[in-house]
Amino acid sequence: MGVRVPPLATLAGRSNVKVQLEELSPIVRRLTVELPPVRVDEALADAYRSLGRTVKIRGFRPGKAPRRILEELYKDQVERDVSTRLVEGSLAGALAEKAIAAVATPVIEQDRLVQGQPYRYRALIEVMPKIEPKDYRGLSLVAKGAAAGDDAVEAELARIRESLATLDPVPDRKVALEGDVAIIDYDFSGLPEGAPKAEGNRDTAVEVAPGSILAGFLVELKGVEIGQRIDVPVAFPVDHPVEKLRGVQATCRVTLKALRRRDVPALDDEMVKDLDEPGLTTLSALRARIGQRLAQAAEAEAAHDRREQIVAQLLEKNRFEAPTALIDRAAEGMLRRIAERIVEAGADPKELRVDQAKLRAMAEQRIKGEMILAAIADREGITVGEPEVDAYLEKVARDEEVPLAKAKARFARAPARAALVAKLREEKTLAFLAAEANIDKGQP
Amino acid sequence: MNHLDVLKGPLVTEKLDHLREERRIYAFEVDRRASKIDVRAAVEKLFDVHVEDVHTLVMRGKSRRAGNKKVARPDWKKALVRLREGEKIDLFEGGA
Repeated sequence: MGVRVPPLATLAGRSNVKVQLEELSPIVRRLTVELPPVRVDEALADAYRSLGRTVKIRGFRPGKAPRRILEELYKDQVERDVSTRLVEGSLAGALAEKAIAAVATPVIEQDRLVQGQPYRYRALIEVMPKIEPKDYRGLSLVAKGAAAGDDAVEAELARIRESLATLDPVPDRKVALEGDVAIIDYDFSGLPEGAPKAEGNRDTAVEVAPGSILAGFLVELKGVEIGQRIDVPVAFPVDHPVEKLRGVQATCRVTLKALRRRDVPALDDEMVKDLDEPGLTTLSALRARIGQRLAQAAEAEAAHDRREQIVAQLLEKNRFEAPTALIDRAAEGMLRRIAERIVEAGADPKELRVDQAKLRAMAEQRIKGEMILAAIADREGITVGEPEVDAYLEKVARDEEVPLAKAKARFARAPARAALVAKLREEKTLAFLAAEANIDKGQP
Repeated sequence: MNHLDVLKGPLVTEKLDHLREERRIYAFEVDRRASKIDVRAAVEKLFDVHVEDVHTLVMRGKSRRAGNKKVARPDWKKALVRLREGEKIDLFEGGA
């Protein structure tokens, strides 16, 4: 049963609390707090008084049981609760007194609470280390390759064309030629005992081209007539996902049922209209949009790469420890995002095997990157003002084609807004560092 | 009667608490067969105190209904023991 303990508001203001601070490492402080006996006694008295009013004890009316009876029955519980309340009621004040900003919930080690004696506890607190950033001007950066050229745009167009291709029957011949799409039935023979049965082996489409039947290619069909049956040797790869099939040599009996020709649409405005993308009607507009999308992707990748380079060099020149609580939190966040992506892809996140050490190392790098960049921003007086936040929100609204009010609402709450300001400040700092860096514009 | 069999347990209630504090009277549930002399001997022996006087009374067991029938809890004997001035039984003083 939980014991309700009254608030310690009346006690909180009273001083005589002894607070001692030790620096165990650049990121760990130990705070020893000692509360005077009077606070202990008052807290205990209050606790028993309110407990007596609520508990039912045989032989006594509510609120009439003497404290010694309550102590007999509830002592351990009351002491535990009172000590927790004493810690809660005094820790914030102690942290404030020593001007400590904890980055995570402190770990508390409590002494036993004894009536009439001072109550002492110790709190292990992780704090941000004091970072004196140095050597951050003149970093050597290698610029990532130029934005996507025409080749990339054409390749993307070809991919779109291919995705719009239709399979049309071949009316004028019965013999398969290379490049046809063949509709086949197939069965394996010579598979080891217990191997899974082939699925989807009726009316399957394969391309008459060199490659493995396992990947959807079957060049052996060249010259085969509809209705004819052939045997094809199949070698399962040694890294096949099904263990029993790895490295197995088997035979596949294939029956050609029909022939289709892949009809790829011509690259013109008609094809663009078939895409059914709002606002896109001409090939030149599609080209422009692909170019823009590829340029954005290249820009994002270049920015990411630039950050990696900057952070790696900064951390090389500035050695410091990051609070483990922050690293743990970042690692958890990364793991959660990976799991979410796996679920989105339709897989089972329980199957996920993560190299914890690698994940933690990545999280540590990220947190340290944020810390060193923030320290540089502090040193250089880099700040983010309201107009910059507004400009960013307008850009978000434009890019995502949502009303500005909606974009603003997303960042209205304090934590989201603080995160946004931190992100913008980091971007500004990265831009500052890049401007101060020596950039090698060589080939990627 | 063996004094270990005489006392069945202390009785603590609001009223008895007042009796204890004001008149050094301690209450016990005792064996129904125990006499006042047995109670006095048992208390003196077990708690190392001197007993001034002993009152006993038989408490009627409460009856309660179990389905259609009325079932009576057994009767029991209460003993009120007054100690000599200045003496006390720690058992009743609580663990503080």
